[in-house]
Amino acid sequence: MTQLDRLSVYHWLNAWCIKPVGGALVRQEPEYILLALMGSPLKKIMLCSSEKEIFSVEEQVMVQHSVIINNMIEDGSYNHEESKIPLDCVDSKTLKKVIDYCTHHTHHHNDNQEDLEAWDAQFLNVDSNGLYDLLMAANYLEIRNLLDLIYGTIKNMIKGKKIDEIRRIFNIKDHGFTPEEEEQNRKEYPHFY
Amino acid sequence: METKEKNDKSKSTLEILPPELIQRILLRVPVRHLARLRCVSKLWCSLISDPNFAEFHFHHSSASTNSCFFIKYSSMVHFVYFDDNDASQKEMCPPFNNEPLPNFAVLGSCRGIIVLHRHPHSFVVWNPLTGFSKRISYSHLLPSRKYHGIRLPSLHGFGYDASQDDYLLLVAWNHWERQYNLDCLSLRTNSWINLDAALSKPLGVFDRFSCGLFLNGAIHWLSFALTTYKDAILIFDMKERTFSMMSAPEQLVMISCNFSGLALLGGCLALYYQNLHSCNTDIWVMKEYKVHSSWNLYQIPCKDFQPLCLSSNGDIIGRGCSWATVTVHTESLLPLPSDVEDKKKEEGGNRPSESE
Repeated sequence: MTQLDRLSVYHWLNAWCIKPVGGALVRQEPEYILLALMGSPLKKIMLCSSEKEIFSVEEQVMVQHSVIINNMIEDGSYNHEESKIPLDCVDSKTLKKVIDYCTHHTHHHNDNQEDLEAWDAQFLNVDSNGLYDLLMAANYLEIRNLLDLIYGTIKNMIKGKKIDEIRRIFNIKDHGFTPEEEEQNRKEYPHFY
Repeated sequence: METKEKNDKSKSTLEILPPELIQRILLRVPVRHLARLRCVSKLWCSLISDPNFAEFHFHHSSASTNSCFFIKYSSMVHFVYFDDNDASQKEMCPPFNNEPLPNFAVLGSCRGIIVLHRHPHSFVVWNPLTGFSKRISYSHLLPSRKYHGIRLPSLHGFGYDASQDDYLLLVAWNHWERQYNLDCLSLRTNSWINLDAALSKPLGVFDRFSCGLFLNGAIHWLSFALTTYKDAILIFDMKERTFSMMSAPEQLVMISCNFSGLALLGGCLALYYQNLHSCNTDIWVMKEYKVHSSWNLYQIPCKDFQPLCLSSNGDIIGRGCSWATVTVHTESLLPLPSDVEDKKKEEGGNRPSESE
């Protein structure tokens, strides 16, 4: 029996409509069984942060969550032997967190909802800077479920807060209103401030 | 040295959160909080005030987080929010409270816009979130009708015509000689159209302070007699501007005309009434619109239950009897058709348009 490489396995599975797409979790067991039978090792890919630090991660973990990486692998532009994927707008600290998220959700997708939510809450227990870095990274890599999670968190941070607090949270130093406009707003809606 | 560089880098990330990401965050915020967020910064204000954003937000956010009960109690209005985490409410003055004798009645609500009847002879359309309001007089309709004093329309309905991006208000007054005068106001053209010719037969059993229900591009009224299931529902198609009839389920029992009506439950037309035999409230839900066989019965073991809407986990929320008017209201920042044209004439203001 010839050794099939990972890409061929994916194409084979695609034909049977088992397709990993960013954000959707695929049942992995048949794949692992298939690969174990064929003796093909779990393929890893290399991600390179803006600080030139290399992270090795299971290909299937990233392919399941990130639409961008999935597309790169699918269209064959990524060469497993040589390439690393440069992520110039994601720093090492954030990239490591993103990888943690994807890895946990791939390996624990059978966990019950409450446990997953508790893990997510703990995962997002970072300061505002960290949260925004994660948001930008998830947006760049198009990781749907992480984006939804962060949007939900930010939305809850805004709800019911006064304008001055919201400006602090988003670090908006220059609100762009003229002094007259700002004064007008404060007079008309004093309870917002 | 490295720490300082890191701080500078993170600071620059925060300051430059791109507008598209801010917009995506704002799309998830329930619309009632968006009004205040206009004051955060000029960028946020322009994002929120953009009519395309209001339209997108209206269509893509969950209806239950933007719905509330609009309650008239004496001369104030109350908004009661019933989504899962917030059981909050707020009170507001209608946009004419500094006038003497602020008497008004609620006629309907559609896409965030509320229609009030303002005594003596005008209607007020109002979006409480944007603050925009407009008064339209109907006194010119009266001399030919030989009426005196304040008369609420005996039949009314308010809905949206998507084909014209227009809102239509239908009102009918019954004449003491049993003739019906049915008029229709188009908010876009600010003109009245007489619809008497569109009625093939007199309104008859629909003429009893009936409030129309807007659904699927048409306004629906329920006959108040309900002695027979046939042709129990009158429908006005907004686009075609024609009337048609629909039957209620055959299993409808002879019922009292009190506490009967139509409601919108989870996007489906529902017909409810007091079942005098079993002392329940019967609610018939038409699971597929205009498919007669899809009427499903739900029985609530409670008298005087008037269903209003569904909560996000599928519970039916209703009310008992009281004098307050309760209307289900879906909030939005959508402008009225003429509002958009006025805004184009001005040079982009931050604040909502003043009333005319």
